[in-house]
Amino acid sequence: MAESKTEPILMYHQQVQIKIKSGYYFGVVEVIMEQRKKFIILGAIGLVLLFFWFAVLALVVTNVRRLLNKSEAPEVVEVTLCDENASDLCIVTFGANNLNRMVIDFQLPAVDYAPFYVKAANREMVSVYTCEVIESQTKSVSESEAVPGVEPTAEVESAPPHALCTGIRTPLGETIDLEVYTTDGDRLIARGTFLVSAVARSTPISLPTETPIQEVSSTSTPDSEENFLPGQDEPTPTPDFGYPNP
Amino acid sequence: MNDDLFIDSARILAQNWKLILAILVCVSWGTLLTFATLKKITGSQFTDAELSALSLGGWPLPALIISALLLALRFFIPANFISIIALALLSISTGFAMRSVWKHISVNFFIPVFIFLCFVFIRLGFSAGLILPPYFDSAHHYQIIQSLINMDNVVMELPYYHRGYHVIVAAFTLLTHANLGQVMLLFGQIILAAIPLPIYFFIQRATGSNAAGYFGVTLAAFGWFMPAHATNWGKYPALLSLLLIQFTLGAALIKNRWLLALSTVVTVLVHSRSIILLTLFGLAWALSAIPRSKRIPIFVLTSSMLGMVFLLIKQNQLTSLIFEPYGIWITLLVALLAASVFQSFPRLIVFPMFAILLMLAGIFIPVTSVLTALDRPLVEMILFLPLAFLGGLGATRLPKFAMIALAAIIIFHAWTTYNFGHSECCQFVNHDDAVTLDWMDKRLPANARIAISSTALSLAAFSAPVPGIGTDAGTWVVPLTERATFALPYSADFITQSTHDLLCKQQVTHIYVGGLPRSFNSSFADAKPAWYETIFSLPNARVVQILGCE
Repeated sequence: MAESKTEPILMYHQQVQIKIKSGYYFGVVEVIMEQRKKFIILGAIGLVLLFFWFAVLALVVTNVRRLLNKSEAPEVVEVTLCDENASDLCIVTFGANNLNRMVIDFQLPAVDYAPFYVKAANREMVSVYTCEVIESQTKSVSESEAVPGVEPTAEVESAPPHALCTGIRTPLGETIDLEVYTTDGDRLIARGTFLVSAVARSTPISLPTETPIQEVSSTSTPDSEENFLPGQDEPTPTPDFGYPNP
Repeated sequence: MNDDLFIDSARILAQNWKLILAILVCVSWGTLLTFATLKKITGSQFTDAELSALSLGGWPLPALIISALLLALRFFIPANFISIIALALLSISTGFAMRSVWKHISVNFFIPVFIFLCFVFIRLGFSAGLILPPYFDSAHHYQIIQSLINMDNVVMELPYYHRGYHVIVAAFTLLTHANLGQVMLLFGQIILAAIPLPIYFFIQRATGSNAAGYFGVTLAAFGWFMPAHATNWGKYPALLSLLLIQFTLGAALIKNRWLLALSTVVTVLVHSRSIILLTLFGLAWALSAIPRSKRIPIFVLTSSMLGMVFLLIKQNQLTSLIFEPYGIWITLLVALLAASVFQSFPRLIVFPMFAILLMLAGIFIPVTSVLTALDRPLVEMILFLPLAFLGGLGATRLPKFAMIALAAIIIFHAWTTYNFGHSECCQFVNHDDAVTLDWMDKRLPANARIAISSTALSLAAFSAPVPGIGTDAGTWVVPLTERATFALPYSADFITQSTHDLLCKQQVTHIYVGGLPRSFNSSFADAKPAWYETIFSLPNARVVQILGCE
């Protein structure tokens, strides 16, 4: 039994010797080298594929975004002065407030009209007007206030929604080019040119007592002697550690 | 929390693929050159995966050398030729590097690179919705880089401030003609993606376990809020130094004096406080040389000291912030894993513990009246490194399936706990600010002086607060409009006579009012029309002109 076990090993060694002599060993080395090269090439191809995958993903996202933008892109409408049947964005009046700043009263086509701001150009100067939506005056009729003949909880719309845009006052008798942009996304949604021939002034209201302006309490440490503002309250020594944590 | 992360990453990639590719080419070039150098020095002493991971920490080294060379050449050669020289240098050096490594490189080289690319994709999502890099540091870096690009003397006049980072980004921006703000943002995210990789080298070297090495990488990348949260602070030089600190420690392990000296110099050029950190790591290594008989007492002593320091620091209002980004569960897991292998690696377990202790001590060592040896944000940023090393060591005894399961839990924990996008805390510039700053650049007179809101920050335990730190987009007025600014506390009361007098005395012509909680209160202009007039206004930003100064 022992002889039969050792016999094949000896034979194997003999075979190896013969194979080395005949150059077989070098063939094995060549195969290993070839495999290593294959691995390297596969690794490089893998990395290129990863980039390719990123690029494909990027292209898909870009195209989808472009399509979405196309479908979402609103038409640029012409702003006109409002008439009885106005259904789009239009201007009711040009006015001025107590601070002598121009107030443009826009009538909005819908309550959920996109928030916007206005760029106004006059004498080649472009100014930005901030806009504030005035809630439409809708009246809800509840059951307790129900009037005979009127359906309870019915909503009666008394006025279309408005937005007041305030900015620098332009001279009377001159044209003003208006461009309306959405606040979110900064997209041009409307434009128009108007002659400011009249400006409605607000009537000053004399209040019985002037409301005192509340002083902002200082909680910051003064930056330096130079920057410490005389007249401010003594600041509370709350240290500011910067670099806020998540 | 991170539902849209991959969509955001893909969107950023789609919008900036050329710039991202250019940065990746720069990083790949630096990595290949470093790898070839390490391979030549070490021969077959280290595996390709080890050297590849370490090289991902060393790429800024050749990048800084070539960037400095290119910027210096501009004094002698027209700018147009610089690109040609850069291209030639890159091609020749890549050719030499490829030639020397091609016959010796194995497929293992690509594993850390593959992981790095995956991390890049994950980290890109952070930039979605950002117009400019976050927080006030970024504005300062932007200004210095812009000055380097324009060859202004301003850079020379400024005190030393992390020039290495600025030089690399300036040279890159000069060659690519990319938008500097975008370069800073994306470069920062790619640096962040590379930071977890070099830890593999140390863990693999110590334990001989590939799996433990990659477990350490997982911990460094996803274990804690840091270092990722530091991009919200715009701490780009410090992040870059985290790569180079690891590389320098690797060079020390390789025991090549020249490489160690060169990488130390470059690390210090990128972030000056790195020299303190490297010294502390060296000191910790020396202290951790424990005789066999004293292993257990030293471990108990170090652990109790660490615990005591932790409790003491918790009492301090400033320093307690350090531990906030390090959640208890992952840190506890690391502590348990490390304790379980103390008998096998006594010195390697005590070394990072000493390093943590010394770094915490560094916050309390005063250097000047306003500076301490280390500051809170830097220590907070780097603590992940010794912790990930401890975790990696501790994982060696775990069966492979347990290690994979733990890594999956760590990634899942990060996904559900950490915000991979940018934090609202530190975004100074929104769309309205960008429009307003652009308007100011075009419309305001060149000699305009603009008041901006600011505060005083305390960064170290005992140092005085640093005044005049910007608190909103006003901090970008100087870099983007080149108009002079005057910093005032954000709580300044502009309605008072004294404030108006101060503004007139300082020849301040305009006030920038942002829309952040620590911006100036915007109501003053309407309250005092004789003194102030709003000349540009958007919902979240406005410019007010000062009137009534004689």
